[in-house]
Amino acid sequence: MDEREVLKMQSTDNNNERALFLRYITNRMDAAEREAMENRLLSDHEFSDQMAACEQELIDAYATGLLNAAEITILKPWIALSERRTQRVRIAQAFLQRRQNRVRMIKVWVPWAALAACLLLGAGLLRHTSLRRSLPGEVEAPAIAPSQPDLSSSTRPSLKPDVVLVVAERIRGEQQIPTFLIHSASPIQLEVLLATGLGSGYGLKIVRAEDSAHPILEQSNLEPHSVHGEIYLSSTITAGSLHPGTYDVILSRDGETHISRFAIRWYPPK
Amino acid sequence: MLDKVLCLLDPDKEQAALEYARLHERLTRFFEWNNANDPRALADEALDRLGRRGLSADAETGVRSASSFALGIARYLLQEERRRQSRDAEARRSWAAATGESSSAELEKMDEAMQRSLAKMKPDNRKLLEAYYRHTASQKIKAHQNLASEYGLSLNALRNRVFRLRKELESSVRSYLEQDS
Repeated sequence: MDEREVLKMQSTDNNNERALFLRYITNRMDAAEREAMENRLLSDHEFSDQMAACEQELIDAYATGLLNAAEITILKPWIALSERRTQRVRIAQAFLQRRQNRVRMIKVWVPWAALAACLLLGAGLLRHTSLRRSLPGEVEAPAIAPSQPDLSSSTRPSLKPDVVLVVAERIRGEQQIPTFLIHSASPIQLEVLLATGLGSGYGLKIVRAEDSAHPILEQSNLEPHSVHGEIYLSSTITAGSLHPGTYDVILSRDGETHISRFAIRWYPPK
Repeated sequence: MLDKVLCLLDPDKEQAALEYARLHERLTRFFEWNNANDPRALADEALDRLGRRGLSADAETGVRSASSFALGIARYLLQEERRRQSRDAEARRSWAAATGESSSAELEKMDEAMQRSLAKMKPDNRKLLEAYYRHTASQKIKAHQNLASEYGLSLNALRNRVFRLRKELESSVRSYLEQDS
């Protein structure tokens, strides 16, 4: 028997168990079947364990909205009958949502960590190259005030854009604001990770956090694209448009709005 | 009385004690799945009655299968329970009343109880729980099969082990919630 068949059998077994358990708890067995079921429940501990695991899986699926409509109709009144079961649903929600949040956090942080690593590596290489090329006696460019950048005298312009990656999702409570270190003379490639799936016709605005009335950038009808199964919306911002500070990316589509906040800092001039 | 029940379950005392706990668990589930208000108390009662029946039984009419006999008693107790429930209008509260939106304070309490309970678990057990629930529906079966071979278990044994850990976690959460209330 190949692996696929084993997996299929396992899935079928689980479905049969679930159906059997649902029929039992909702009293949809005839007398003989019920008698046999109860005899087995009381005499076969392994079977009793299997049914209990099945019950837990149904509660989990109910708690996370993964049941089909027919199963919900059957299960809802049965859960409502017992205060203990309703509490089990809440505990399952607390446990499983916590897990989902952790998985989501990992999904969000892995690309950020990779991006940070790339930026660090890039910065290290740049610095290494410029140190090797600098001649003895060469005068260093004067430092510039962050609030009044002088693009011509800042770090050597880079043709490659700096990437700013933010996540568009509705987050309740206080958010951590990611800070991006960018080159003042480089264009910025803004990547917005969409947590809610693919669609089209997105509107995008970037505003200063303290002045949302005057957008720095406003674009409409943007189309997202997929990278390794994740959906992103991309936009390129011209060099020098974003000075050090805090910004909001406002994403809108079909009346829904997501706001992601981020901060910008510039690499110090050499 | 307890000795009599143990004798009915197994001649070996250790085995009998183990089977007693398991039969109690099966009875509790039976009452729980049949919507009894206090399944544990009814399981205690069923085992008490089983012991009394064992005391009064002679060699001819003795209890041949303790679990079958326990089922008979359990069904009888369930009938009594249903009569009690039908007199008790409160037993059928509406879904809305039972599951109304939790207040943020309740959610916070639940979250804190969950955190404390997870922190209290043995790291290996916590790791297994996390690994078991890490995957979404489409990858779940395959991931569980990999996990089962990693632990040297059958899929069913893995499922049962995880189910026991969930029970342990749930019971710990409950006790924290009760302490706080």
